Amino acid sequence: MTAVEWDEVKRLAADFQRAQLSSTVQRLSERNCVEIVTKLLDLKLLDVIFTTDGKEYVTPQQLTREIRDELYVHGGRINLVELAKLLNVDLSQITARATEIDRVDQNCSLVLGQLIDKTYLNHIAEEINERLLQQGQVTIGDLTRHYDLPSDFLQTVVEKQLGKTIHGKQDKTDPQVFFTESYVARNRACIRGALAAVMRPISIATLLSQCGVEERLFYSIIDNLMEMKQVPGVITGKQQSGGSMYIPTIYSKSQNDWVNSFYKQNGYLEYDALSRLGISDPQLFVRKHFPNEKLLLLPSCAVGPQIFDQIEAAVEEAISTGSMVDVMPLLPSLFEPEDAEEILTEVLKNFKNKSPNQNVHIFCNSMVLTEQFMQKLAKPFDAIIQKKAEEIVSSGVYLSAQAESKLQNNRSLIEQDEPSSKADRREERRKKATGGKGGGGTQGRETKTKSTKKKYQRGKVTAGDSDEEVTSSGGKASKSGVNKLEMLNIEDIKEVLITDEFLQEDDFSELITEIANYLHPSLNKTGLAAAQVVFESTMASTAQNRRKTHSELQDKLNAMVTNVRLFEKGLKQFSDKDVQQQLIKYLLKTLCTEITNEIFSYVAQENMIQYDQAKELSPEIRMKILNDAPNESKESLLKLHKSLNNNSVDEVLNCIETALGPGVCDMILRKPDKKKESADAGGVVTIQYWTLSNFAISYHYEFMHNYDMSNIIFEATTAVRTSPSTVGTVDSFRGSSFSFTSDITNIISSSHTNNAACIWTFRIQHFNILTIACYCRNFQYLAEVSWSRLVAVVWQQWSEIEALIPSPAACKVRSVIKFFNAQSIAPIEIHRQLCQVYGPNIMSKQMVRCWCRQFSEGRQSVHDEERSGRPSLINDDRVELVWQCIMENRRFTIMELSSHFPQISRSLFHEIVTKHLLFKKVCARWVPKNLTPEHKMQRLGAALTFLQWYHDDGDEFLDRIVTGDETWISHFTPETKQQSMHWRHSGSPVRTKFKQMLSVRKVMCTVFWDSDFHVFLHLKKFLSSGERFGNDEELKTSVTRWFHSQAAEFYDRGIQKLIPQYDKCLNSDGGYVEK
Amino acid sequence: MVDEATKKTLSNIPLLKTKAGPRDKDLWVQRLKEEYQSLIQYVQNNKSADNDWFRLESNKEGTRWFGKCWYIHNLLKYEFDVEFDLGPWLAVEIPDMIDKGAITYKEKTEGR
Repeated sequence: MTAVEWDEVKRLAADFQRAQLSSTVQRLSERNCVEIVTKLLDLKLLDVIFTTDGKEYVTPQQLTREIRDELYVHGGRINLVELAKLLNVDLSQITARATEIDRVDQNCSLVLGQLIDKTYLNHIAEEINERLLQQGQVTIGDLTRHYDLPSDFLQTVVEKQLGKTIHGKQDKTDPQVFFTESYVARNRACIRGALAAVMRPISIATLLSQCGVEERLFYSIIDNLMEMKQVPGVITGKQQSGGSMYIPTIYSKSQNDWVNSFYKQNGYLEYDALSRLGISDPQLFVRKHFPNEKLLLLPSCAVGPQIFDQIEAAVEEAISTGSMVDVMPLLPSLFEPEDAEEILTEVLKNFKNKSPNQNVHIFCNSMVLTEQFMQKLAKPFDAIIQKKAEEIVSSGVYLSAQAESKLQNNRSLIEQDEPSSKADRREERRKKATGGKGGGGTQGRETKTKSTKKKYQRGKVTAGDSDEEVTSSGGKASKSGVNKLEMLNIEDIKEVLITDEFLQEDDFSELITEIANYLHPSLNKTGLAAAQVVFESTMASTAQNRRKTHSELQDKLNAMVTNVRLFEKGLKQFSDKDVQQQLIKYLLKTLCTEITNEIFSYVAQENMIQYDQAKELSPEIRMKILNDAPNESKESLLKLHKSLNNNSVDEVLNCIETALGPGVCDMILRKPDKKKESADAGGVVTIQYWTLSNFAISYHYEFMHNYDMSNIIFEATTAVRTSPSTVGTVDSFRGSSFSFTSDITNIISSSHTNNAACIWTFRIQHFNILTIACYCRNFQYLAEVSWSRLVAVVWQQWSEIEALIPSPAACKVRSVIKFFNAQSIAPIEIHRQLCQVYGPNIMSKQMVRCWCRQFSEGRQSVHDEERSGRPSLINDDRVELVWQCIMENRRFTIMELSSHFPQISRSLFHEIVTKHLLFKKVCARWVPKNLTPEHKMQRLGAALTFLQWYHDDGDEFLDRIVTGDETWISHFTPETKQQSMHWRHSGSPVRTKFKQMLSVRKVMCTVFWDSDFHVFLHLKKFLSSGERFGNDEELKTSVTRWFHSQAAEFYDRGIQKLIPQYDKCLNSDGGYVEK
Repeated sequence: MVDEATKKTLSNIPLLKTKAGPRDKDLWVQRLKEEYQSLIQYVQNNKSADNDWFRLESNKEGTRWFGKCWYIHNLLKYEFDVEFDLGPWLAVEIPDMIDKGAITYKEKTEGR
């Protein structure tokens, strides 16, 4: 069974083979076809167009036919894009075909990417005609929109069909519009009706919109109508702007009628009314309309002579009666005050011409007030002014104002820079004036004066003084000052005016204000004149006030004198005379001077001497006061004045006593209370001391550099210490002195806490290090810190702070010096600034000066000059000498030469020879043979022949050459010297090599080929690889093998080398050629 | 997994009904016949579709198949030798094969 089966398998296998061997049905696949078509297209044997999906081909003819079909189907018009979609062909192809059709076929045209047929055009024409009949007119624009075709195309289409299919007319002005006759007629009728119906001006635009007539049609029709005089009116404005108006005749007529009648009735014309009537430029209109009337053109209306006359009459009457008149009620109600004013000025102009003597004022634009009327108004003020004047004088305002004015006259230039304070003062004055007015009775004023401070009293007295001066020097100065004093302010005037019978009406407030403004200056003038009169009369009554001042001053002076006595005692505690003197001087300068000044100013007030109260009294002013002082006090005051310059407190005190005594100031000076003093001596001294150190410090600040304050304090402290009663108070002093001046405290704390910033502050204040150290030492005494440590701390911080820029380059510092020097800053200042920035040790003052001098003398460089160094011993002479020596004997040694020239050292010789003369010492070369001239000639000849032959025959000649040479080959060949060469460092050990390894035997090798310079060279190299041969045979086979192993080129190269070799030989005149 | 064209090709070839390998003796013959039939069918299909792409033949037992296949690309015919063996033999069958002389066994004389 299996066998059968297997047979079957075998059979199947055979079948399979057969099946495989049977021929294949040849079939063209799709891609083959595509390939073939592509090939055909490439060969231009076929012309087809691909469809967009690439699956079909279409021939152009077919495409054209299809396009035509589609065109027909679509009623003669088809879009190319649509066509492309329908035919499934690329748009570009379609376009190409369509243009072709357009070109060839008269009936078809290509418009805006659409193919259009004649039938379609006919169809359109019919449609247009229908439309025209329906609507009456048709524009190309509408058609364009409707048919979506270009306007010029449609234009040609319509024009072509006009009269044939389309029954209508083309507009003359606009070729794009077509209409029918009936349409035009209808519109014309419409317009004519509308225009006839219009009663008032109407803009054409509204008219058109109401009638529903086209604008351009309207204008053509209206022109027509105008010509035929069928329109009752005119058209104004431009046609194109759309702002044109139609004004019916009937309207303009009624307008004129109205204007005429209004004017006739009222005598004026209001612009507003005119513009309401539709007149755009009323002034122009008025001028044109009434060319004969004399109209006054005012800002808001035009006035005729009627009204004008009326006002004139009213004003005339007012003037003649000396009263006032308001023109406003006479004018029509719509007149503005400005109009009234203009009319009035016009009227008054006429009056001036008639009667120039009359003085008339105009208020509130419309009021006319005569001079008489004004005087009448001013009458009630006389009494008020009188009262006011009294008031002012008694309150002292007048005086201070006068004094002020005088001062201002004196130093008006100086005063200019403090206007604000002046303003303040004036303000104050004004307040007082009003206050005074409110006060009423004399008693009230009295109390007020008392309560005011001494300064006012003083001011008052001085004012009295000034008045005296004023009288003597003529009232010139006072006038300017008094002018500034305001007697009556505007409000007051107004109040009075309101009570006036003439002005009792409600709406006169504005008028009153204006009148008040007008009257104000003149009233003030009269008021001040009155005040002056009053003032003079009241001068005498002020004496009693002085008594009060006197006692106050007495108390004050007493206190001060006591203080001086105390301080003087304190000063006596100082052991150092110098310090004592300084402090006494200071005391005189401060407290004593103050007392003196008080006394002097008191005297000055008493005797009404004018002086500058604002400033402290200078010695010069004191002298001035002294001159003016009464004789009985003069002497003692003079003494006091002089005593201030002597350095004696006692003297001053005595002088003060006499000056305050009877006859001068009449003041009682308290005797020093001995009991009290001794009781609390300790306390007093402490306080004294404290005060002392206080002014010692202020003293120090005044003479910052002149005196070392530490000494003062030191002295003071010692004084306190030594005084037995005050031992316990040192601590309290210390506490207080620590607190009273912040600077001092800073110093103290800096010495305690190493606070660098404090020291820094002091450095800025131009203290030097020693001063600081002194301070520290001084307080070290109190704080019990060791002196050396303090100095060390201060110095360290000092130098640390100092260097803002540490260790600068020398040239940099010099540049800075140069810079400062160029600004001509003193060297000492430069040094100071340098020390500030670069630290104290940067450069000495002397060096700074030296550099400054150099820069001033014109030095430019900030660098050190280049230094020459030791001059070279090598000069041209010596080089020449050595050169000659070498020329004489080239085999010299340096040793020999230096013995010739003992003045030149050996190293110098070496330098001259190698560097300057560029010699090298070289050994002579060894050559194997010394060639005689004969040999050379032979060699030259051989070379020449060889080269000649080579030149003639070229490489062929080389082929014919057979050379031969022989050499010894040893059983052992050592390395050649060159072969043993290797790179090494100068320090590495030198390898030694022994030549004396004599070979046992050697064999002559003869080679018919080459000279030794090529083959043997390489052979030797090969043999010297270190192999040692046992016997001749071995050597021979080895050498023979080597010969065989070389390539033919190797031997060729040897022959080739002959040519350059001979060439060299020729060039060296037959000399020996190595390598 | 299989694309549409392959599916279509497969549906035009008779399905193999016998599940057997060369060790199954009689069943294998059956299987081999079916293999041949379907191969013949496939080749014929190919030929008629102008898609001939191989020549194949097998040894007597149908365990080793060899032949050629080709592909034409850019007008150049690339030809490849094809050969596949149904194997390897399982260890249990080796003695049987040695009996048949299909393989020879040589004892290792040297140790490891």
